[in-house]
Amino acid sequence: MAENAYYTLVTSLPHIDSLFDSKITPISRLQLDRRLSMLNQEDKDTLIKVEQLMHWSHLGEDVDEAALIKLAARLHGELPSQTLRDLINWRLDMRTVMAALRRKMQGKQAPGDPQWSFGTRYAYIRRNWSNPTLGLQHAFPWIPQAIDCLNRQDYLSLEKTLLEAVWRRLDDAGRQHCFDFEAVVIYLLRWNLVARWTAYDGEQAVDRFNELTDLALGEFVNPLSGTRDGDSLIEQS
Amino acid sequence: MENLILALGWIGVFAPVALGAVGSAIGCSVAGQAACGAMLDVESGYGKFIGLSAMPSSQVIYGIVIMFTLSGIGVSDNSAPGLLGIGLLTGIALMYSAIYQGQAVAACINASKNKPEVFGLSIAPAAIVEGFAVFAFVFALVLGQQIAA
Repeated sequence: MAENAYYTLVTSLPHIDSLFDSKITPISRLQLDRRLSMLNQEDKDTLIKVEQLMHWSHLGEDVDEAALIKLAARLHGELPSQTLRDLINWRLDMRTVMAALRRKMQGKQAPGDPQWSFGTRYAYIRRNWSNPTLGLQHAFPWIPQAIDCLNRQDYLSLEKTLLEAVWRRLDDAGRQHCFDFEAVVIYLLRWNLVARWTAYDGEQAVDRFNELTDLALGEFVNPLSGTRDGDSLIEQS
Repeated sequence: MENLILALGWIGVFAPVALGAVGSAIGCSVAGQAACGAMLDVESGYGKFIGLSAMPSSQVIYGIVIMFTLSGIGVSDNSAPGLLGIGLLTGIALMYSAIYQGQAVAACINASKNKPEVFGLSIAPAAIVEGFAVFAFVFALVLGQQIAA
């Protein structure tokens, strides 16, 4: 796509004002995909790679971690822009940090495999496993807050903290890019955050939780649920 | 050698139009693309976006006026170096101002599309760039008279 041709696409995308105040996405995914069809094939391929790196909801629960790390490294190496590589690295580092904090919370030791995760900080994290903030509180100022949320088991606040950190990082990156491919990618990532936040639904979460507990308990679900045959555990609590 | 000097003089005469046209074409194209994109997103106010996207076309008009003024002086061995210097540099100034004005207009369209109340203010950067083009235009005319003298 010619450099100037991003002007049409970027101005055709509705402004995303804020994350937590959003009730719906400013544009539907269908419409967004239609607008993104203005991109040339090379840019579309890059966009697919970025989404593959950032979104794992399509992956099954029995995903092969080693293969995932390899895939991430390959896709990351194919990205054409340093800004995008930095942005993706930051996001992957964030996931690695959270994985490490959760492992630490469970009392587990540092991972044995030197390449235990992706991004750029996994080796550093492994070396600084004993540090409460993994030695990264300056690079990731939200770590103390995340640890606090984990300690209190306040997972909603944790989710908000993480989403806000990503939102700020995308805001910072967005200020340096107005009418280029990076601006399109940043918009898409922001849209995905809003879509994720607006899709959170308490009732759906309870249903999903019940579904998972029923699945885990299997044939023992009825005795455990007491007198109310078929009722869920969460409803009793 | 004499022909070369005359050729350079004619380059100076036509450069404001040619370079101004290149700049205006790029600037209007950039602003026009932004206007087209904005029209996909808004339900009304299309006219102001299209009107704004024509803003970088003024540079080629300045170029035409300068061309007529410089050609009126006449291309000769004595005037050719002056015509080249004034015409070429004015053309470059007009070209770049049109290109960057187009980008400023695109930003204005993007901002005012999302927040219509900043429409007037968001034109200011593009208007300032226009001011620089006017400086180049006016002083090219003034200096052109000195060549004639």
